[in-house]
Amino acid sequence: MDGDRHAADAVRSTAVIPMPAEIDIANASRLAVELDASLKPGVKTLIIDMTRTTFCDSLGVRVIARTCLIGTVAPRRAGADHPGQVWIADSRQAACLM
Amino acid sequence: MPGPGAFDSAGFEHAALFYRTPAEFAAGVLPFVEAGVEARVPVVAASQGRNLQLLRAQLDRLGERVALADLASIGPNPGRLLGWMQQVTEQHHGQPVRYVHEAVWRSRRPEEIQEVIRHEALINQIAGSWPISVLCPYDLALGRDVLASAERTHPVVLRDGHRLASPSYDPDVPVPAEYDRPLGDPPARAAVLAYRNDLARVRAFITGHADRAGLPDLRVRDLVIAVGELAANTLAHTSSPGTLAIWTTPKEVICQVHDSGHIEDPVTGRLRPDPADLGGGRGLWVVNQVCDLVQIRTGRSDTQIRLHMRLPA
Repeated sequence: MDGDRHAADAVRSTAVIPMPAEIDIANASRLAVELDASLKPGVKTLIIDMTRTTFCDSLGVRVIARTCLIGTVAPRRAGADHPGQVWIADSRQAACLM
Repeated sequence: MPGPGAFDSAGFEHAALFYRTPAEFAAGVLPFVEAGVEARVPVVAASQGRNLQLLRAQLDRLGERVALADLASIGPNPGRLLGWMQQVTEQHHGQPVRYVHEAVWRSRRPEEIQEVIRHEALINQIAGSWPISVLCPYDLALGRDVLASAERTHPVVLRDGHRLASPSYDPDVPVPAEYDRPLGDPPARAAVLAYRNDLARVRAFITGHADRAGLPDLRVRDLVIAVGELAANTLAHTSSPGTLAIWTTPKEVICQVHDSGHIEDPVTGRLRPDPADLGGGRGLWVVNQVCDLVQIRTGRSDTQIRLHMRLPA
């Protein structure tokens, strides 16, 4: 029972945001809004899922870097119990700057 | 008169050393290196070929404060050299560093030499902020125009053992005019695409043409990244369409982007952006890192950028 509850908490405290196939100036600001919104209270781990992504330009990298900064540094500054974690699941095939 | 080794150990210096023979190269460079070693200032000696071998042969004697760098292997794009110097300077925590910096050699092709001259000119633009002494050896067998440019882009020249202020150096001219002329139009055979919003179409266009030209997959991706950055800059900084051209020479795939933008600061894209700075300005840096040669020419009302990617031999 306990194990199940922990597992359920872990699921709720982890957010997975899938990234599109291509990230550039056309969609970067929409993704920034989406990633910001995912960093809500209770979320300890954010997974930015880039397994579908085949292209990401420097603007996309900036959006992701910003999310990493907000997600990992800001919670510590705010005195949260656990520092936030941001994971990036990447695609080996991506024409990507990361 | 102080000899060539008599550089300040702090503050900015940028001198051209003109030499005819390996002996003259050694007579000019080694005192500069030795004076650095004596003053406990790290020395980075960057050259290639025979002159690098000559320096390597002296290394045991000069000790571990001297690091060698092979400019032929740092990569052909002179647009990366300022960032490389920034990185070395940062590794030494902003302490004085001496550079031997021979970036022009006789077999280097004219387009690359042009960009080295622009790089030399831009070294002066960062004067005051880095405590570096840069000694740039120039082989007197180089073309007369290259040697004249070396005089124009170095505040100090060393010739026949004499050190003097360069008569043609003008601190108010960031880049000599002859290295700032427009690049010219792409050849008639180039494939051309006008673009504005549809960056996916730009990427598909470049991928198709670069693939067919025989550029290896990873280099095609690099070129797509570079052109994507330039096209995004058009979108972000101008209000009219840009034009993209791509063509092939026996040795290269070349892309040229033309738009109505203006790049204010000629150092843009040459210094590494601060990773913690989430503002813009990364595009041209990325372009310089992934391309074999980048030529940027900006006027009052337009900008041309030419990207070169080497084809496999």
